[in-house]
This record gives sequence, C-alpha cells and structure tokens, in this order.
Amino acid sequence: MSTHLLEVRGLHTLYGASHILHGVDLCIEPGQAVSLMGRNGMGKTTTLKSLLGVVTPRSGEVSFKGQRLDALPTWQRMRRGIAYVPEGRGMFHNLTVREHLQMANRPNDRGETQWDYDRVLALFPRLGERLDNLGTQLSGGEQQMLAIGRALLTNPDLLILDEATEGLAPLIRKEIWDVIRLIKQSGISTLIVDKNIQVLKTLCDQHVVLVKGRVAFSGNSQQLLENMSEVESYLSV
Amino acid sequence: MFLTNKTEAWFFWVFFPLALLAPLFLEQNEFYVSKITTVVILAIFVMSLDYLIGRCGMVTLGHSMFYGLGGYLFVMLAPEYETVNFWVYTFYICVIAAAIALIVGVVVLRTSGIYMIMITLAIAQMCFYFFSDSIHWGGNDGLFIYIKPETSIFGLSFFDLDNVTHFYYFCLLSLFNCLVFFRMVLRSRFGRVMDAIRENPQRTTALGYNIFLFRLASYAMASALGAYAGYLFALQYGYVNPSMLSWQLSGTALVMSILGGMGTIYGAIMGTLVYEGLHYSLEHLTEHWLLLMGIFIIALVMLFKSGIAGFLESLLEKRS
Repeated sequence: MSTHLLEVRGLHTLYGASHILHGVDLCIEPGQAVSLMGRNGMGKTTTLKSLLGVVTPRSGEVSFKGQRLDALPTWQRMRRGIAYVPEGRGMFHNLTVREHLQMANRPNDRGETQWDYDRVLALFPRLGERLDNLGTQLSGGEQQMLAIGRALLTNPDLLILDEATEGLAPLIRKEIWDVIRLIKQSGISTLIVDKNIQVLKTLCDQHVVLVKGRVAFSGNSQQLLENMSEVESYLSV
Repeated sequence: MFLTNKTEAWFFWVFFPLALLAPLFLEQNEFYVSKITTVVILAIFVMSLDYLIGRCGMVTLGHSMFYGLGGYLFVMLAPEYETVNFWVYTFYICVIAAAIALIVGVVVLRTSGIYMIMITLAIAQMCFYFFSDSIHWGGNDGLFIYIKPETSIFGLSFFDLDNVTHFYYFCLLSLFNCLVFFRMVLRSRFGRVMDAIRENPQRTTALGYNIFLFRLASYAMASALGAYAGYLFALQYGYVNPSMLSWQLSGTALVMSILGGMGTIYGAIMGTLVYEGLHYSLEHLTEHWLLLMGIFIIALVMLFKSGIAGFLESLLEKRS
C-alpha cells in the first residue's frame, strides 16, 4: 500500500479545447511541505482545482491517504482531511471574523480536534482584536491569516495554500511564512503554490516546477540547489 | 439575548408588549382580534419564506403549497367528527410537510435563480389543481373543520382554540417562538454555513460542506413552519380551500418580506403588518383599493430600498 499522503498521477486537464495539464505527477508524504512553482498560466491553480475536484480532469489519478478521490465531489475530498486557502483569500462578505471561524470549526475525519478556536487565535492574536469586523474589512495580511485560520479549524492533514503571500507587504509576508513554518512543525503537510523560491527552498522538502502544464522539475531541496539556474530559468519571465 | 441589533431590539420591545396589550383594547370587538390573529399567522408564514429567500438565497414562488398543505393535512388526517389533540396533529403536520419538502427539495434544489422560481411555481400549481379539481377534498369550495382539536397536555388544558382571545395569544406565542427559533438557527454553525452558501456556494463546498444537504435541511425546516402557519389559519377559520395553495399567496408573502427587509427575519413581521394594515385601510376607502395599494407598495419599495427594517437600521445607526 502507498505511504504517500497525496498522490497525483498522470493528470490531464482540459478547458474546452485547451489542453492545460499534460500528465502532471505530484506526491506528498505525511508531514512534508511541497512547493508548486511556475510562471503565471503554467497550470498551478488548475493542478489544485483538478486534485480538489473543482474541475474534472480528462484522465489521471488522485489518491489521498491511500484512497482514490477521483469519483468524489469536492466537499467529500475536503472532508477526508484537505484544507484549501484560495488565491485572493476567499472571504465571505457577509460574515464577521468570528463567524468565519465558527462556520469552519469541526473535528477531522478521525474525530480529532488539534486546532480549535483558542489555538487559532493564539497563532493569530490580531484576529482576536477584530472578531466582530467583517472579513472584508480586514487588511490583506489579516485576511490571509483569517483564511489560514479558517482552514486550520477544519483540522486538516494537508493544507493547500494558493499564492499565500501574493500582494502582501514584506513584513506581513514574513509573518505569514513564519506561520506556515509553525504549521509545518505541527505535523500538517502543506502544498504551497508561490513564486518566492528563496523562501520555498528552505521551507519545503520537495519542489515541483510546472512549465506549460508539464512537470519540468521535481526534486528535494538539495536537488533544487544543484539545479538552481535551470529552475530559475523556468520561473523567470 | 437572541436579538442581533439595536433596531431588532427596539422593534421587539415595542411590538410584543403592544401585541400583548392589543386584545385589551379590542375586547369589545372579536372581529379585530380575529383580524390581528390572521396577521400574526401570516407573519409566521412570511418569516419562513424570508428565511428561505433572504438567508438561504432560495427564491421560491411555491411556498404557499406548504401553507395550504398545513390546512389540508389536518383535514385529511383528522377524523371528521371526533376531537383530536392539537399537539399531536401539530407534530404530524410539521413532520409530513418536512418529509414532502425533502422529496420536492431533491428536485427543486438542483436548480437556482429563475429556474428555481419556475419549478417551485409549477409544483405548487400542480398541488393547487390537485385539490381544486378533487371532489373528494372539496374541490374549489374546500372543506370545513367541524370540530376543532383540544389542547390538553397530560389532561391539563391551558387554552381553548374556540376562544378568539386565547387563540390570538397562542398564535402570538408561536410567532415569538419562530423568531427565537430562526435567531438560534442563524447564530449556530448551521446558520453561518447557510450565510456562507448564500454568499458563495463554491467557496463553501471547498471548506468541506455538502451545500445540497444544508439547503435541503433549510428548505424542509422553512416548509414545516409554513405548513404550521397554514394549520393555524385553517383552525382559525374552520375551513380549508385551494386559495391557500395559490401562487398569489406566495407572491403576496414575497412582497411582505421585501417590504419588511429581506433576510432580517423580524422584518417579516413589519412587512406583514404594513401590508395588511394598508390592505385593510384601503379596501374600506374605495372599491379601487388595489390600484392605491400598488401605488403605496411602489412608493414604499422606492423609499425603503432595504425594506422597512433596513431603513430603521440605518436611521438608528445615524443617530448613534
């Protein structure tokens, strides 16, 4: 039996006639942090949407904790222990910070509650000061904290972060990276989509680079350092 | 406290004490007590529709089907010339209405927007014509309820359904309970998820929620309360007829909900009061009262864009 937490094999996804993903492979082990890098339009978000079931791939396999997810709707995949922090943070306009956290709060599929309201507020004390504000009234950094906090309250085994630091001030960005490090240390596996290779090379254990919907590089941090110039050429415009 | 904001608290403390005192002033005239009882029953119905449309984002023109079914179910289930227990039949009617809503909802909730309006309307019209064309269920004339249920619990009876004032207070208590119930639902995790679904269903799915089941549960809950209101109406007047199932009633309830302030829940009471108040005042003024009613409603909707509740909320916010 596979020991991978998440295993994606030969993912082909099309938008109409456009072939976006050409056989993408991706593996995440328990407790591992994996980066998914690539220039804009290379298929990073489509890879995430395909593995979450938001878009239906033409072919390929997605397994999580040894079970195939291909036939399951999005909500059932998430219930198996996946949490997703979307690009743009995904605030609900009509909910306050407290309500965002309240609606997401639930034990995982094993009935365990490692993350609760208090632990999330201890991780993000600033959210505690804004509990009665609408999610959309927060700054970009605070919204990102809320999106991560909301995802953690579902007590996931795998946290997927899509462009977690995009559009944030450098200081806030650093704060978010520090939080992601803490989350990794807590034992939650993470799949991070971002462009900041300097941070990702130290934070993540494995790295995948997509070019035009194909995996152009896949390896650990050591291999990434050895092939840095090649990888940087994939990421530069 | 279960009240969400200053306006709701203000409305609560003005409306309920006044409603409690109303029969004391109207004691000489049973007609008026009966009239305000109807308004209170309608407010329960409008509140359940307001929850569906304003908080769950499910626009339906078939909610009157459950209102009518509430009455018809009682006539269908209860023996014609025997006294039955009110509480037992309340339970039966709510459970059966919720079960019907679960079946109907499986079809209805696969659609949204204009298609949901069309499909709910179509199902409600089917139900309307079933009863209006059925000789067994009284056809267009409907059926009479000859014996009203008794209200005892373990042999103790606290009120009499034949007493107009007793029945009014009972309906008022039901309205209060509905308000508290909806507030509790909306404050719970279930309510927050429903708010999130209304705002962005895809995003809520990505948080691991089966939005279909949440919507179905809400639909069943609101339908059961709609049926309860219809049951009270049938008991008040002692008859049921197909007009209780008509789409016009759903349309009128929708107007009441919009007038009151959609999604505010307590606004449903305001909308019903204003609409019924206008209705009663204008129909005694002229035989062309519908024309005046239309003008008033257009003016009110133009003036209070977020409904009366929304207007009062902004007014109180400005003052503070």
